[in-house]
Amino acid sequence: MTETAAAERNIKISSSDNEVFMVPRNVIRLSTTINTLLQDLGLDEDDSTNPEPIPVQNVTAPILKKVIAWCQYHYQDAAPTDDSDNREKRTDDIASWDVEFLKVDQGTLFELILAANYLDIKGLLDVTCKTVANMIKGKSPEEIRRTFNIKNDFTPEEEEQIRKENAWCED
Amino acid sequence: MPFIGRDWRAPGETWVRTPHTNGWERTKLRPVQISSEPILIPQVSSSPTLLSSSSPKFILDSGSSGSSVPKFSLYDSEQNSSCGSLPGSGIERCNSSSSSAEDSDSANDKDWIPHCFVKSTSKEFIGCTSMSEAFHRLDLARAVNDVRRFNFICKVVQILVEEKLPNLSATARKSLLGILTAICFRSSNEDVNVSTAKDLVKNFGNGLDNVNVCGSPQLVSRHHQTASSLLDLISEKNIRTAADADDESALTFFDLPREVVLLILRRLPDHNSLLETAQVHEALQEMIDGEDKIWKSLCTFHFQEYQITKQKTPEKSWRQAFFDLKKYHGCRELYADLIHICCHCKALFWKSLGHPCVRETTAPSVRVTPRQFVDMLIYL
Repeated sequence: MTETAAAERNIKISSSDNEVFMVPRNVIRLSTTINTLLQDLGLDEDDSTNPEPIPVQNVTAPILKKVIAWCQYHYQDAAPTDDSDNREKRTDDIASWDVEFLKVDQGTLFELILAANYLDIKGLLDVTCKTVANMIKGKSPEEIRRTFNIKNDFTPEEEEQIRKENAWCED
Repeated sequence: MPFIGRDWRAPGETWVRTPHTNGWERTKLRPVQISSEPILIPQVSSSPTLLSSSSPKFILDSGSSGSSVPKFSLYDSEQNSSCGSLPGSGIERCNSSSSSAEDSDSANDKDWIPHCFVKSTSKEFIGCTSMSEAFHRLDLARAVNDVRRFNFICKVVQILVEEKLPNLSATARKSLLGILTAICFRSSNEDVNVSTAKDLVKNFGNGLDNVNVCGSPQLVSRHHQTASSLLDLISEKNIRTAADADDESALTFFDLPREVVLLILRRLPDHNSLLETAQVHEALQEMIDGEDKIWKSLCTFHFQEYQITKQKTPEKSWRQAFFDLKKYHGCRELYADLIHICCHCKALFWKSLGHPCVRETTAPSVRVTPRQFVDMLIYL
């Protein structure tokens, strides 16, 4: 009974540029931040939509829209069972839907990470971080710099020094 | 007068172009021609310009060292000539875009699942299938574009180029080169695993210098050429990065807060990528050297609890402990998707895709590691 009521209930949230989104209650559940907020403020007690939208300060409308789209696809996923250390290192373990979803430019990807971090959406944070890790993996330092547009701040002597230290680690 | 069969005027084999390997495939082996959704070939849909500008480099039989323009016309004429074997429909088919060619066959292609039966009567699975056939039937070249299968294929290719190159037939080497091409296309298009791809191609090139490789000297030199143009392709500056740099307001890697960067670093699955990352920037080096948690999670990922308790002493850092543990036990290899062999029908198949089998749901299957897979392909 409460299950169906909760499914139909919508929550209003607004982005930093004041665009209001209506999100089903059990979709927004994925965001631990908003979920806890709703529980703590006792907003779960009545079944109506909250009159005042919940402000999501740090997230702009286009990003929030993408975040909601991700949640809508994933809200029925089973909670992961195995321990986090095992799962988080498996950077190739990304569902093909997520791969397509995250084919965005770097700026958007980083904003999605920040949004997922702020809203505390574990699954989204996990796949976005893995996507960035995949951009780092299997590359030389110079290639990583090129990918992320990072300026090299090491002098050649320092680089030599690091290489020596790392070689020492290996034996 | 010799007997001439009914089909003496048969148009011959029809061939279809495969953009992901930059080669050709026989139509009668066509099940492999599907482009199902998860393994879409990015070159075709996303950046046709890149493919058209880079593909003329790889025409194997061009043999000329002229500029790219004559090569291009050669490439066109080659395309026409091989379509010419089937007048009318053949030309139309090749000239139309690959997607429309695929549409006509999509009905029977839809339910094709990559799998390959092995021919072994004993319990030993060594050299039990031909390499080019297995590569073809398991759709390895196209599977490269799937992030879940990429690592497995890379490992297989790595073993082959580093150790087995003299043992391969010329045809097998050709299909290996096809996969290498697919890997390089993906690496350069999506800007991932660039060094890995480079190393594979370099090792392939070095392996060709061995006096014992099979095939004619011409073939070997053509493979050399292809390898060096592949190297050129991945060494070129990436387009996507350049586009990002234009947008000044966009977030960059160093706009991320430290905790988030740490989350990303924790997801790097091996020590090599951590050490390489440390050389990128002082801030990253400081994080990787300073945060022992990163190394701790690396230890718990690669090693068992009892192994760690044996090596880790309070005065030893997790970083040191990791390298000690690695020396004793070696790192763990995990793949999101890998090849299995069905115990019932002896078919090799991708675990996530399954295979057609009368006991599909109940038949037990055994996982095949990259090395075991290589052993299945090569009989010594």
